[in-house]
Amino acid sequence: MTGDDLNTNDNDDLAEVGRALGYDEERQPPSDRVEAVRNAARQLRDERSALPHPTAPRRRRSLFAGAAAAGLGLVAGAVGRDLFVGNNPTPAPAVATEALTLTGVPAGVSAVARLINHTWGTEVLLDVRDLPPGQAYRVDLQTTTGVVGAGSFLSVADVLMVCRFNAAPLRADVRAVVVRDPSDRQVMRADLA
Amino acid sequence: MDATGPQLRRLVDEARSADPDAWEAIYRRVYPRLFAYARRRLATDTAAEDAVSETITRAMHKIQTFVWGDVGLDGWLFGIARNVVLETYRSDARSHASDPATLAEPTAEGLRAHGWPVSPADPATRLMALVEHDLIRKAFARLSDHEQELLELRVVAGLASQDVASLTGRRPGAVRMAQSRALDRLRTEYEELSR
Repeated sequence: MTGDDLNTNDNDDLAEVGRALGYDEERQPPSDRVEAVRNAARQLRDERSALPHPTAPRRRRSLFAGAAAAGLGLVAGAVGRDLFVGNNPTPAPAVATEALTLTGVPAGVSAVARLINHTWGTEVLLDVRDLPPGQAYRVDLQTTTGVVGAGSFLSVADVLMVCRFNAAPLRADVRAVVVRDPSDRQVMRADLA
Repeated sequence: MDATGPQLRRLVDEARSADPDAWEAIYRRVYPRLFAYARRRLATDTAAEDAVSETITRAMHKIQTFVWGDVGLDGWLFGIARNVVLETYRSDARSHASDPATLAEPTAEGLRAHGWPVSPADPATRLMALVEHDLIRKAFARLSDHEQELLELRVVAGLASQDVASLTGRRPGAVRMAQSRALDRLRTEYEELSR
């Protein structure tokens, strides 16, 4: 804690408040997440060294969600190239894709999503594993004019499900991609700019 | 967050070249504070850890845009973390524990519910700490959202008033005064609850 402006009593009290609110200066991150961070840095460094303009700004975003519980490595998203789920590389698509940031991914589930902006509509690429098996999940697009179904998939145990969903709304009109379970509850979503 | 200025600048320089050691050091450096901040707003330890991981991932891909200014590295990372937590919070209301006083219920056998320091003290001392911290959390919950955030930015995020000022768009002097007032109010609420 900084002590730049309050007196000693104030700082003692503030430290106690911090502890009461859950701050533990000795807390260490889980080792698998540390390794995931190191892997992500290595991957980024390797990508930069392979790029013709290594200092060019990047739009890439990625998410570790659920990686620890699933026993997988880094789940990383990329714009148009090299996505990995654990040790299962997904071949780089031939067309430009937009990496999506999934939120709300249940613990133990690994998921990576991308999107393709087609002239005829929007295609969602979803790689997911370790959802509760035997259930049908629905993928919806939330658009400026309402919700449009993009398709569904049946979850299977211990398999990386590589799913593709197509729908008519144009990318510019899509606001979110939402995955719902059979009870219509949201399982995960990606909000789009 | 104890690295000196030159050390920190060297760490950032190494991080800009995606050095794994540098990113591990940054991750370990900010983890306790970012975790505590995220954990107070998200329902599970896993969700909070995900938020911290996501913060580091975003930072990794944005570090080229980081410039030393009013907000240092910690403030910059905390700004990213705020957005990550807010996005998670908005995307899934079920993960939001609305009553901060319920977030850190102590376990029966120890003090660590989430991020809770395990004290080496004797059971009586630990029980007193439990009771006192419970009162503090209840008193804290009585503060306004604004007061809570100002104190949290200080005691949980560990940010100096200059950083808080930059993040909240206020002047450092105004932040110091507001934090002092919020602390006074917290003391008053705590004393009232202690009676």
